[in-house]
Amino acid sequence: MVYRSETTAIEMVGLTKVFRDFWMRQRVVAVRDLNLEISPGEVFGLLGPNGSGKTTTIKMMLGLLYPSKGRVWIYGKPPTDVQVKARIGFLPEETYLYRFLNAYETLDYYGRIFKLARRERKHRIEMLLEMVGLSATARRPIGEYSKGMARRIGLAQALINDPDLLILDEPTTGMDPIGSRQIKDLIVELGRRGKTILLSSHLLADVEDVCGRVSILYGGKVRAEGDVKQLLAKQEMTQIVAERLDERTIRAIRDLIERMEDKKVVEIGSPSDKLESLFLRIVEQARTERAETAGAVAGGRIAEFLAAQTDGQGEGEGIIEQLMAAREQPDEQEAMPVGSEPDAGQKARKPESSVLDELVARNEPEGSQRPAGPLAPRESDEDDESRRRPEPRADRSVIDDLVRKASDEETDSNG
Amino acid sequence: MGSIWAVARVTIREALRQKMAVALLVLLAVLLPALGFMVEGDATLPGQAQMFLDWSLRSSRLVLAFMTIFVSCATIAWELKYRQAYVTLTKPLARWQFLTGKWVGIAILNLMLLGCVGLVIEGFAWNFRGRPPLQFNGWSAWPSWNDSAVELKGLTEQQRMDEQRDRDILLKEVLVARRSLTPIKPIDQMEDEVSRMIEQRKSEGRMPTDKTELAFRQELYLQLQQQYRSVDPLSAKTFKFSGLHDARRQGYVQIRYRIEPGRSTPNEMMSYAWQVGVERKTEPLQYDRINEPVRTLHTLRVPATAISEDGELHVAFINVNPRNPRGTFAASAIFSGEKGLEVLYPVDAFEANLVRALLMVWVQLLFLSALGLFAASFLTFPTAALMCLLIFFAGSGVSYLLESISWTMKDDAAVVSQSITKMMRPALYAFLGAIPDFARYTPAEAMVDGRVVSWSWNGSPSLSRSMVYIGLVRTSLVLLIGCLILRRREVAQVVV
Repeated sequence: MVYRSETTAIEMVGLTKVFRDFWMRQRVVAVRDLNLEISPGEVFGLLGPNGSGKTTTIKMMLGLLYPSKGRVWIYGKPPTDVQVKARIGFLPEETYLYRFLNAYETLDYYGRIFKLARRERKHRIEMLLEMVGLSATARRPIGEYSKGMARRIGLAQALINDPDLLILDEPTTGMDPIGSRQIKDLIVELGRRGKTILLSSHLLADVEDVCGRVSILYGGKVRAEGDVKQLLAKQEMTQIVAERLDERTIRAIRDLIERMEDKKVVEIGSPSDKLESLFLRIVEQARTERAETAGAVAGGRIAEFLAAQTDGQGEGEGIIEQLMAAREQPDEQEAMPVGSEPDAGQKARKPESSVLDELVARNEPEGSQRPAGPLAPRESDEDDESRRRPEPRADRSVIDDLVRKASDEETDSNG
Repeated sequence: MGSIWAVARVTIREALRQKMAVALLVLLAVLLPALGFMVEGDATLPGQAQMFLDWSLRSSRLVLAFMTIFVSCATIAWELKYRQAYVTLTKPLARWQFLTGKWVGIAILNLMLLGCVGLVIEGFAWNFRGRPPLQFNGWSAWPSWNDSAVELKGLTEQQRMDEQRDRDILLKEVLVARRSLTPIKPIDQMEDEVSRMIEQRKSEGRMPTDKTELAFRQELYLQLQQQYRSVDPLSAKTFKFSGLHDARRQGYVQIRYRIEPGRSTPNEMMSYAWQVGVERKTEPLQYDRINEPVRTLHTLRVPATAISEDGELHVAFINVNPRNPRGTFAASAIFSGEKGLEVLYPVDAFEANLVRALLMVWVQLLFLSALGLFAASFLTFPTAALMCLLIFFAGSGVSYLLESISWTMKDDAAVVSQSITKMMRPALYAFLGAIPDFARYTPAEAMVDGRVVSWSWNGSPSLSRSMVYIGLVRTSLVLLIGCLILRRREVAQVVV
């Protein structure tokens, strides 16, 4: 048995998996010579189209498949090591739970396998059921659950042991937008609390929202790997986000840019509300009105026991409620991206370092700048932040100055 | 242990919530009480009880065996097919713990179900003790711990005597646990005799050429054994039973016998006499039997005082009609088979015997569940279940199958059948030797006969021997191989 250092959460060296037919003839090379290293505390995305080898890789990491070639270590040990398994939480691509058990019994079963003491087990089960919004349906057999509800209980079972490493295979499949959002929020929050998370998905937005580093697979091979920001950065473009501007100002800015930078403005427009936001707002309203439903209800706070590594970061708790509340604010929709790509509505509120940022930074008080990196506050955090900070006036003054100077120059030149 | 217990709990829940298992259990729940109320047997009370015991034990064993096979195959095969194992096996649970947990769960489930079966059987046994015989107006009284509470009104004296006799047989020969002893064979004398006969043949040059000396010796030995069990007409033979110290404390012992006449007898009957205590100084007790049916089991109850202080009982069979010695029918009386002549005496209560009988069934179910788990560790559900059923039925008829194979090797068997058997014989013997001989450890027959299901290693049937041979050796081996297969198996394997 070869052991490795525990300093990496996951390490794969030359991992290859070949599927054979009944006659043992080589048929499909699902994974080819995969080398990967994921550090503790990292939120890592495994991207790729269907059949690219994501799930096969995960199954080898979990000891459900054995590599045809190469090795994999989890915290320095082979994946079949029982002690290593105690540190892993796994949500498979579909809900493979016992249909004859109810949600409570399911969590109780897995809690027992993790040898959780009775009181602790009960406590965690109640918290997790509350968190995934299944407290009211905890005694219904899982066979009667909708796909989304089954995914929620699947997620709860993956968290019952407060895992150091959470492996999520297509976690948002079958989830409604609320559940999907909650899972993404949860991933971000757990990542912030120091958990290592491996997220496999072909839903690019999911991965982009939460992962710090990604690896893109195709045909069982890694095609690209690296920091999400670096991979996505469009160095040749600049995006400016401002509160609503009048036509005159916009024209002035366009002229200014064209004149000073000698570059074209690609697009100027007002962003529309995202369907996700609209949906979340309507459902939240229905819940506020206590409309009847046989399905899952809104998820609650993140289970306390998952906060063991927070270092006193209490702001993470109740994050889902905060997010939901933030989406209800109508004024968040008013920000207008300038020069954004047509499909980059989500990114519109995350301006890259730009002329505007540089200008604004000079006027912002110290410490008000958002942290960089993959776990930077999300859309809603930014919105909260933007609602609190007084800087928009400074932004406006800078722009006004720019516009005024441009007008003066124009007048001078005309004159 | 905690993980194993967790898996065991879920396996019990799974079995109880599976329609297939529940259907079989409902069948059992309906079948047992129905048997209790409907069986008639030979229209006597002991016959009713015997038939109920026989059917209830055999049907319970069969239903539970089916349930065990289906549940154990399904629990692994379906878990792999429907991929719940993807989640369970990524938890801190070694694969041997997973398989052992399943096995423990099924074992506990079977124990609980056998407990229920035991309660139903005991309930009916209690009922039989107080139930009037079938021929008397149905039930006029419900059972009571006190026999005198059973009132049978309007019976003739003969009917009352018959009823008393039946009740006596029920209590002393059916709902009881009796130890059985067979007569001591004069083995040394027989061996000496065989040696003498062989020497004589050798000296006369009459040794058979178509068989080995050993085979011939065995043949002669068997002939002598048959002669020992045979009593010529107008002669007597004394049979010695020893080890009856415990029986001295009882008030009586039973001599049970079944006579095969050497040739056809008029009306299938014979007349003869028994003498017991023939070696004692006191006058032996004589029991005359006139026109008693042959080829039928008979029981003679004799007082325990006939047993000597060193625990020996000498029983003489006199093949003479005691009423008319000259009219004795000229046929040998042969006590064929192991149960042709035996002495029985009670050693335990029916309830304790029932518990041991159910434990013996449980041991078989332990093996079947291990077999099901083993089979499903590499086969799909239907294939695994079929394999287990095949082994179960083969195990229930091992001796029959072995005998069949030996018949196909006889000289007069077809040449084709001989050659096929010759080729397959090693594999068949290996297969039949590896699977447990369930028939040898089936307690129904003993329970029906009111015989003890013994803890003793030499008992027949022996619970301890079934525990070691089936419960420990074969079950552990099968479970171990299952664990090894599952450990090597890629549970998420895809064959393309």
